[in-house]
Amino acid sequence: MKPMKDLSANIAGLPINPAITNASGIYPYPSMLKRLAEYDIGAVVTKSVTYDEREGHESPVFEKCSDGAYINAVGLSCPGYKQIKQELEDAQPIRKPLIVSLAADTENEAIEMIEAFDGFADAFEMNYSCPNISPGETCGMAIGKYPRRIESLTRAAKESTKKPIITKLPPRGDRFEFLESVDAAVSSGADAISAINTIADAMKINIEAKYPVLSNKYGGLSGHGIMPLGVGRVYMIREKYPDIPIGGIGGIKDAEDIIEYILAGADYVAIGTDLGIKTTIGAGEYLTSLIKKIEEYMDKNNIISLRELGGVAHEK
Amino acid sequence: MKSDDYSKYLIKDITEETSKIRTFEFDREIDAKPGQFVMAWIPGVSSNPYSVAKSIPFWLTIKKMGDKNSFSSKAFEMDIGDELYISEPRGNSFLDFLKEEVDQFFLAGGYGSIPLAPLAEIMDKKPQIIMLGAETREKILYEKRFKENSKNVKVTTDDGSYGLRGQITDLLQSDTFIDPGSQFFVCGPNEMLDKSGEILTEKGVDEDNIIMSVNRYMKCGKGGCGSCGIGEYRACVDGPVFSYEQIKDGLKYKRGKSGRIEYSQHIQFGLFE
Repeated sequence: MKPMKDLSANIAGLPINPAITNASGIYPYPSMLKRLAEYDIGAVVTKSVTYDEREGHESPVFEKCSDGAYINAVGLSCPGYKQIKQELEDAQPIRKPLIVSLAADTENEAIEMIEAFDGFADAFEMNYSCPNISPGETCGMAIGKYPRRIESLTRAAKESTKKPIITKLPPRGDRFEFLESVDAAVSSGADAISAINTIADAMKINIEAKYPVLSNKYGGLSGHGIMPLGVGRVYMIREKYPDIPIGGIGGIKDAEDIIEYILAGADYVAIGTDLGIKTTIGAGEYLTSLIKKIEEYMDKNNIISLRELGGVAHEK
Repeated sequence: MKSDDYSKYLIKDITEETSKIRTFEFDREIDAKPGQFVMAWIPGVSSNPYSVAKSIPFWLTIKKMGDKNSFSSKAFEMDIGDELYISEPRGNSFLDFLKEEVDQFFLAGGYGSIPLAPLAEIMDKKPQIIMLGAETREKILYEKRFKENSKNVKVTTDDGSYGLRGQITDLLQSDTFIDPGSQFFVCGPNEMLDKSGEILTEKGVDEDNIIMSVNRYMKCGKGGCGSCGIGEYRACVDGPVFSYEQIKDGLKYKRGKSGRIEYSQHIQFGLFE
């Protein structure tokens, strides 16, 4: 008999087994996360919670541009954290660790929301990366592109809880600019970094209508096509910070994509678009097939623990 | 694969069903199964989900809702020859649930007639009984289509202006003709679905023999945003047709645009309300 394989990750004390989560925004409501948690997934992540109610953008909000390229501008819709807190309480028990994603505008909002969720969240993911905010808004990427704001929010979050704080960064600029954001997160005490979010300000024009399809016109680019950018961002974080836990996000479709992220230095991965577009039952089958294929790869490479692959692409 | 979600369709005919409901006929057919929906888009305005009312020719039946800038208000300003942008048909179909070996009952409340009419037309063995309800006689939709496809159409109106006074759920409650071994296809306002499910299960009908098409606030229409959540499911990719067993808890509430939960009995954003 072959030995049991270990596909787990450890994020600042939080076990994620297997090392796969949904990306925030996919399966947005607690009743859906409860179902998702029944599947082969290591943790579930809420849609980003905002302090106040937000309606988000008008439809169309999510469209396919080509195979492997989607754009979305949902616009951080949320009924407000109080309702989500109630729904999460009602949905208990959720069978996997729960990561609460927060899109705070200010330090005070972050502190209040962390207090509200601290009782049942296993970790928090700070959304510094949603690109679909309107001019003048101060959450999402309006944090991620300013290292000072990353530091200030992350410090406030760290002081409010003992739970791990994961900072989710946008793929800002070139690697020198991006690493400024990473430096800010690490120096202010982030327990882990997840990257990337969708790539800002993409557009699809319908050539019959001769008009942009998204009602927000611009949207974040997602899907398999963005994966090389995500892998590059993860690689550069790992290159500079050998020990910080990393969540690799962006364009994952198949098991080999997950392995690629792990080789680049990710400890765990999150799947967005390609998980979201499936039926709920289809998502369960998909996750099971990913695990099976990862195990096959491990067999072939004589590996018992996925961690043996962590950052291997940096060696030689 | 086509890289875009929306194709141009020209309006060929418009029928005024009621003062607030119009049926738009388009210049070409669509390959949709009964119960499937499309996203319809007006560039620069917004998009909305609609059940396909008929595939050949392609009909959408649209209810005017919201303010003057809403999708449906703008659609009501359109004329023959104008263009609407339509996605490929999405979601599942009533046919995925249809059991040939038992009898079918239809319960169509208000705009709930829209997805059920094409189902009645496509079935080899026609529905045993169709219950058709609306607030007033004027709001009864597709009576002719249903009468052509069932020998027994029972009509109810809230005000008694046509057929029996009351609602379909009153008819269900009082009636003795219900055969618990049959299948029940239900579409209508959320409260009607909720109540019908309760009444039918009390009468001994299996929860998975009660098939419902639901309407939820839908934004992306392809699984990504989750706005159309009903319990653990998303109406766009998992439905819009479900068995009562799958959604009975989800029928207890609806969500608004932000995701805010609304328990009110008169939620006014749903197509079938």
